[in-house]
Amino acid sequence: MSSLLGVPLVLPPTAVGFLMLKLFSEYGWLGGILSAWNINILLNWKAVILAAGVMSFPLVFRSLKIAFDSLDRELLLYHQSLGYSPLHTFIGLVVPLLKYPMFAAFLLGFTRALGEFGATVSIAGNIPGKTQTLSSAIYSAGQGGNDNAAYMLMAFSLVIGFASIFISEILAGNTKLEKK
Amino acid sequence: MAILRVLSFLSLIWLGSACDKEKKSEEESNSNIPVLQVYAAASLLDVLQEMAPLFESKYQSKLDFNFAGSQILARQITHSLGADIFISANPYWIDEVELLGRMVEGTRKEVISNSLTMVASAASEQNVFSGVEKLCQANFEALVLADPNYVPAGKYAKAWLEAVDCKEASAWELWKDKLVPTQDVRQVVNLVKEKQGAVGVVYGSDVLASEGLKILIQPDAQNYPAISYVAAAIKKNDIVSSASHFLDFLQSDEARALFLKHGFRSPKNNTQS
Repeated sequence: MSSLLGVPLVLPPTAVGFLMLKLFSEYGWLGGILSAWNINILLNWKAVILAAGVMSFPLVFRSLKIAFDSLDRELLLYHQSLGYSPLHTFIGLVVPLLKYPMFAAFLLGFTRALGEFGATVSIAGNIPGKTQTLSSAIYSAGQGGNDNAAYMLMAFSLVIGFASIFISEILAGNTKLEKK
Repeated sequence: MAILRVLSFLSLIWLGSACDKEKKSEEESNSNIPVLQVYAAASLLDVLQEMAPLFESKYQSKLDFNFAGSQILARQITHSLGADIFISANPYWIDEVELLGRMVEGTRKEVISNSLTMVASAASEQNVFSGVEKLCQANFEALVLADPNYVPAGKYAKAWLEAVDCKEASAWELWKDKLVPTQDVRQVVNLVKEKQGAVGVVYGSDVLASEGLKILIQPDAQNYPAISYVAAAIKKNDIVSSASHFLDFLQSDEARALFLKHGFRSPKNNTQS
């Protein structure tokens, strides 16, 4: 299961997009069932979220797994032996211990989702005001010769990108300090 | 540490480009067969791939294709030196390339024409439109067009819909809020086939090239601007003589027959009608 969900990390995004287009085809079986329940995914905001989620999930999952693996299992057992429920252990112990790597993992997922293009355009299209993302807006502006808009959007993504790297470096520094 | 990483990354890029150069020079020395880089509108994909072997064996040269929406190709041509030939699905993008001084003057040639067709998925419940009145009453969720701002197929389609008079407004005015723009005309086919309640406007040749489509209406050619595929040679440092051979070949009877087989129309018929 974890390797199946990890596939989007190694497949070209357009391949994932093509697969999802066929899977959620409203004339196909899965998309057909969903649209019978009035859940239409293709070419609207749901497809944008789905594409971004599927494409960034493996990165988030992998980073979180590394963080969880680094936990001392005995510590968790001690905590539960004091009578705490697993949920309580998670919220009271695991989350505070791993808050930085967890935030870093979500940041990684966020930036990956922001950069998603291939899968998003395949299933959500590039509809201004509806399913257009930062990536596809830059693409549209660039190909239409609207260089000024493309430069503006690029500058905006640079700011977000740098901010994310900066924050994640600080977080990485923090985790190192805590280990000492 | 960070500097090291950047350096190693840059050296990888440098290695990559060095390999590229070696590969190119090897190719050139291994064979004297000229390679033509043909940048062609996405709708020409099937027909040109079938045409390529004919030309290659006749003129002892090789064709390399780059298929995309004409606007993307025009952009690539004005920013790089790769292309030998550009075949645009409308004259507009050839004009742009010419304006920026990248076209070899006097090489512009009209190649072929096409028609417009409104389609839906073959599995769609959408009824065939028997006429303009039925078309005006149509109820669908998404109007999938190649982006009418840039892509030739979308520009032609928009011009047609603007000319469809639905009493209070044109069909374009009625439906423009349902527009789903795509990067090229083939993407219209892909989306229409999977999305319920979606209709799209594509070229007649696209309908022949893809399975699973239902023709809803084929507008009269008088009701939209004549579709004109235009080809021209592109300026390059090393001049490839076979470029003019290929331009002539595109207008030959042999090529014309293949175009017609793939659902294109000869330019003359279109201007007559």
